Amino acid sequence: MNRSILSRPSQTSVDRALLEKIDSTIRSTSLSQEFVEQWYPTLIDRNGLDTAGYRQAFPHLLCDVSTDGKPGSWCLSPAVCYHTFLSLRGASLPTGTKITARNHCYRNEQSVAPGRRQIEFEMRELVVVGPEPWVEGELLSWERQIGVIADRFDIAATWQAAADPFFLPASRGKALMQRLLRTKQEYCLSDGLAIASINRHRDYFAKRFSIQTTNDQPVHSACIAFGLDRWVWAATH
Amino acid sequence: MNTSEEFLERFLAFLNDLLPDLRGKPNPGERIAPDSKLFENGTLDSLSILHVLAFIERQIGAAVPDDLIIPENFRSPRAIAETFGRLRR
Repeated sequence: MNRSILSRPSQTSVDRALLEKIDSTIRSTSLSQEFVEQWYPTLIDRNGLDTAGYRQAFPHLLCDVSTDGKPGSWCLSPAVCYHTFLSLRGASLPTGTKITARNHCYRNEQSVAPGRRQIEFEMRELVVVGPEPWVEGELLSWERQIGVIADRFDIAATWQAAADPFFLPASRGKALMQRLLRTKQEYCLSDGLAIASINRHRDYFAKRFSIQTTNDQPVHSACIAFGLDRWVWAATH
Repeated sequence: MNTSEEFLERFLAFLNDLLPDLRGKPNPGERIAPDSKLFENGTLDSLSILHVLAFIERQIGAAVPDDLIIPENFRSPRAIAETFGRLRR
């Protein structure tokens, strides 16, 4: 496939309505559970993304924005939650924090398939930041709720242990640790396509972005990600 | 001594005596025992898990099957020995 033609397939109004309906279900469920909604920009600070370690882990996926033909200060957001951690940098949180946000995301995928793997796609993410037991409670609750939402759209999927597609051979250990610590779980269709994921960051981002709690408890974080284009594909195939 | 027990003995010697040199720092905490939790307190990290995998592959004489890389099989030295000891050639 020539990926220079479209970074994302054009959508009919029917596809678009379905995507909005799916997102509305996830969004309203999160808002009913005291998630606070945020709207983030498309561009993300290059240095901030480097602090998060994205470039080191996934150099092959990052879309830099060039200015005057040279890499500039900005990248296209590869995921939603990095904006959350940049906005919480240096924060001292009194209790657990819950953010819900949707954005366009961009990854320089070498192989694309419309609806399933695209350069440009939309993602709804739920980010939870707080003490570990509280984070785990939220994740357990959402693991069940995602199944209920999928049922509503006649999507059959199962939770599986997973690992990120790290690029460097030296990162194989990271991928293994993800599997063995169950830091990444994916909600997969029968053909293996992941439509949602739960990502436990443990204290990684809290340390990198100096996020603390007012009572000095260790801060953990996690995100629950929904690939909205993939949900549409799953609901229509 | 059955194959799992032999594997466990070799594996504990590897973890306690060889792994610290391979990763260039001592193991945290006390000597690793058969039922020690390997992922708590940083006993295994993203570098040392590669050494552990290489050890297992040397012992069984083959690549570790992907479907066996799950938390339950790696939670302790005993779990690893029981999973992979029976695969030894």
